[in-house]
Amino acid sequence: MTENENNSLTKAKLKSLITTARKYVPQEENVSSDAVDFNWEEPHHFNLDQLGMLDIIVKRIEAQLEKVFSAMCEGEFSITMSPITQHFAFQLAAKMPLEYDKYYLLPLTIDMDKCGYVAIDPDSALLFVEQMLRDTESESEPGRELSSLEETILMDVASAIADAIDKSIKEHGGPSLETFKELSKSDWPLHKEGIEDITCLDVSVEHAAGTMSFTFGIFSDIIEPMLGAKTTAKSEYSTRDIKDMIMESMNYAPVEVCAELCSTVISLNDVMSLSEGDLLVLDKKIDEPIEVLFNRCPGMKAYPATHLGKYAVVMAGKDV
Amino acid sequence: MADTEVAAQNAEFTEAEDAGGAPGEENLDVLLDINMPITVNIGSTEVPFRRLLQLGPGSVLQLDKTIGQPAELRVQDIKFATGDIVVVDGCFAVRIREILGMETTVEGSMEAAE
Repeated sequence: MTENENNSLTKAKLKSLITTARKYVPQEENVSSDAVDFNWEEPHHFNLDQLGMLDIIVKRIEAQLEKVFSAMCEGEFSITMSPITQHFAFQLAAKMPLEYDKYYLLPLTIDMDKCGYVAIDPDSALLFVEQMLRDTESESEPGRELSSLEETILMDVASAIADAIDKSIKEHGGPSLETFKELSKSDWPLHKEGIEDITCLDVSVEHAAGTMSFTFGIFSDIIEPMLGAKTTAKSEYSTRDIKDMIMESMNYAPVEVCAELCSTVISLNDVMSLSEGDLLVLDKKIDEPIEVLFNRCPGMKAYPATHLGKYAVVMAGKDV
Repeated sequence: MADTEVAAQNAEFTEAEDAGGAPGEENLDVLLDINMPITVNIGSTEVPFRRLLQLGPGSVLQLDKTIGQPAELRVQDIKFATGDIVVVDGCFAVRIREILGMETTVEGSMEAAE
């Protein structure tokens, strides 16, 4: 056998190589697929780690709320905190007049800017008021409107809930939340209702008198610094910077340029009658500029010309 | 709008079956009168966006066709003929050089679609 033959990859060698290689192909582990559909309806502002940190804060809120309800409720109670949910503001705002029509809402503010809320459903509102009044005897009509005195009492309850949340958030380096001066009903309590993300926490308090529940909602970007998240880049880039960056990345994008001598409309009969040698006179004078299309859209006017052996166009001024 | 409930029902269309009628000459007569938008392209090219930003009055943009190559006639973006650009009474005109066959036309339209 010559050296050349030794080095060549014969059919037999190739088969042997493939057989050997197959032995080393890593076997796919029989992992059960736990893939779930991506939820397009909800924002994904916080990742799992950040949601984990948020759970720790939720535990702290729970402890603070226990103090509030110990003072408020007679007898035993238990607090259930639902997992954190994330929503788009416009979705919640759309629900407001439909599902939350009679909810009592206490807006939370930072520097007078409405950034969160505590929402209490009407039945829970009644129960909260009854607990505050220590009125467990009388049977109240479910869903009835609160009197102005009862609303004042409910305002105290909502403020106490907001204070408990505020304390917990501040303990974790969050901002200081102020409460609005009065409760609102059925009006969207925040100053934005677009694609802003809102983090929500549903809380229910089980008591012999019934279940009292409320929801705490806050713009996600308000609490993101305390979770180490930085999803907004407000201060980093100005509108001008963003425009420049887009232009920079667009610089090398190819654009199709087409020189259109004339565009006209003729009947199908005339089109079908055309034959070689026929003359089709166009509605374009030779001293008129022609249209130059950029990606099939009218871009600039130009004059037809030749340049280095090829057809070309010479761009016209704006006033032609 | 008044807050009244309007009873709306789903619109249901009957399933049509093709009766398989033979194409008639009368159909063609109707179609012959319809207007077709025709464009005459003398050439094209592809340039980076940056180059477009640099264009101003007097800038020259070279096209892909060499001098003598025919212009393209297109009906709704489908190339159907080629021709030479000439001048008649101070206006541009096209002298038809070739009416393109079905294959060329279809290929051209597919290229355009891509």
